[in-house]
Amino acid sequence: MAHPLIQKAQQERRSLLEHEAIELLKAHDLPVSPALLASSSDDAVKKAKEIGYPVVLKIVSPQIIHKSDVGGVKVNLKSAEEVDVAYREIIDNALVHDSDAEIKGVLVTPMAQAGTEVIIGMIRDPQFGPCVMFGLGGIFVEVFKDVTFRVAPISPDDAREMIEETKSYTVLKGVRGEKPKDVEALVNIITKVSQLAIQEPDIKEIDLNPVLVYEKGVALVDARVLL
Amino acid sequence: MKTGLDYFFYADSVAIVGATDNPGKAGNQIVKNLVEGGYQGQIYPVHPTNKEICGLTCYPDLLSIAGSIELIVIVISDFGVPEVMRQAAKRGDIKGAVIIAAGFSETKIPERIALEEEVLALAREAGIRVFGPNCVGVINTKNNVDTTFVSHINKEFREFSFISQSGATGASIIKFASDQPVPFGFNKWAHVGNMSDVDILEILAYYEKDPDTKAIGMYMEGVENATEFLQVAKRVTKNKPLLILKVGRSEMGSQAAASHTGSLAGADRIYEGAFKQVGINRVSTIDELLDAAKAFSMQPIPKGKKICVLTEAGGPGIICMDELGLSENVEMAELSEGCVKKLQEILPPMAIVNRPQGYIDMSAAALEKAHAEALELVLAEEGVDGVILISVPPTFLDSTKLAKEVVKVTAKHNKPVLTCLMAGDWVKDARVLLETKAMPTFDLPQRAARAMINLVKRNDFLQKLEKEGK
Repeated sequence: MAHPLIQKAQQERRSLLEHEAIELLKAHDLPVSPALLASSSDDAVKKAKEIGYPVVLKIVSPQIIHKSDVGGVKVNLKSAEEVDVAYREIIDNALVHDSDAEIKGVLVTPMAQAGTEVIIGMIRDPQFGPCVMFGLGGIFVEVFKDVTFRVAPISPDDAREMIEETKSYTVLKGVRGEKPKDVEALVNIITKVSQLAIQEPDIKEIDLNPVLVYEKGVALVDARVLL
Repeated sequence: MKTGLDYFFYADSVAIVGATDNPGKAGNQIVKNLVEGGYQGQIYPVHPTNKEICGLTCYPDLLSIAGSIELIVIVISDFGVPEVMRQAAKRGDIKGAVIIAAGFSETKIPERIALEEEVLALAREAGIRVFGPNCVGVINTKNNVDTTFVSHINKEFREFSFISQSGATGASIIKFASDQPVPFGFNKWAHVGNMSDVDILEILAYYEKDPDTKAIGMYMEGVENATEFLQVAKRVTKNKPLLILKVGRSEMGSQAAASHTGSLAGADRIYEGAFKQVGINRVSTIDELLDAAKAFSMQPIPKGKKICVLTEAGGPGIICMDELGLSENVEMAELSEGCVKKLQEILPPMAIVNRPQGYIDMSAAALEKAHAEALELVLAEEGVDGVILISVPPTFLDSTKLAKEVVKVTAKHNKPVLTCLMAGDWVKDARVLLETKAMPTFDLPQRAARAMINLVKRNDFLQKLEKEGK
């Protein structure tokens, strides 16, 4: 049986909304950052207080995929006032972009500290089935296409090997006096994404971009799950 | 008791439908290969009018052959094949058919797809297994079964078997293998063509169980059922090295592969990752495949990744180091102080010992004895898992004498030694001598290095398996 959130989305002929994606990942033991859906500016302020400042606000609408492009994301909000203003701006921007957009609310998440950005994704290959991808974020992916794949299920050893075989692994080991990053936390995410892909065959694609990795731990701040 | 593919690789009798006395035609070459190769089973050429082919009685059709037939090779054109299959079915004793004719499903023409289906249905009904169509079939070097029209030459039997998704690549690799100092004979060789019945997976599983096959090589354009392929490969690599030349490394290559066999070349990075996961050694070129085939069939797998480069010449040694350095699998050997000291004693004064680590330039003044003594010293070291020996024998060095010394020393240690003798025909005799004693030789240092990297990768995978088993 598919997860209820997947069933619901299927009935509504759409992919998972970000807060649903986060909930699904959480249900599969992935270390996602907290994310609360707010339905009004007052509600957003309340949720921001719950999460703790600074926070990020993101539009949630099935019609809006590229949230930043339409002004649907506001980062580093440090007070109730800033959250209040940001909430209204996000809703306005969304409606300017698409007056028919169905707005489910605004997601409130903690503002993650800067870390090394990596990408972990899953695609269902027509021949191999679910495959997990790993790569360092930014230009490493865009310009150098420095990514690596394994076919699910992926053992922790395989996951470690895939991280180590990227050229950008050097960055994770620590360069210019930086301490090494928490590779084991990434191994954990890769193996769990691979299990999730096997358990939920209706998921076509998972995109965790970016995953921020620190000396200890990670922050999973953005999740897309396509059906 | 024979089953499945035994009827191809161990056929007791072969009928060639479409045999001809016209030299240069495939139907002539196949008969010639069987006769000249020394195949001991019954050979029945079939041709409507020819009376004799290569000294053998020729029959007008399958039904006029009185003796029993196990395997037929069909080398007539497309639309004649169903009738041959009907006759084969009527006989009742035929167990396998190699259909060489092309012009079936690979054309993507509905009429020709139907033709293939018709032939296959007839074969299934009669319990006849099919290789092809559009293939050249099988070779077994041990008993000289050969359904191909790749001209025969006598070869040394090596415990390495091969599967090809391309007839021409498969055939050219036979040629390259034959051109080695000691002609390298694949234990078993198969080209699958359209895979209407027998497919890559079945052959892979067959080689897995074959006691004469120590390692397996494959030329692959793509697979239809990747999941099943990975399962089989995962099982195979637990017991035997599997080396695959998987093309489609670039977008352009991928497109060419897709239009060639129609198979899905697939996203290369996924293949790359999947191969690593199941312990397949992916190779990039025909040379690398052949070089690895030589190394795997003749030498032991190293127990670790520490490789010593022992060279008589600077430049070639550096080329070798360059190649090794590009691999993440290999580390340089660790030589003990005692070993370094002894090497300095026995080698000419201009020798460079263990600089950089694991690298020894014996210098051009090193003669046969120095080569052998140095090799002996490094092989005895715990910090050495394998050795690449490079020499550019000058006029004052007797390369055959060197080869004999190397054979003697290597026999005492269970560590891979790959020898690169760089002097063209000048060292041919020495290379023949070495390869006769199962010591693979290479003409260029980077080729020896690639072969060693493949051996080390295999050990890496075996160690990973062992770790997972615990």
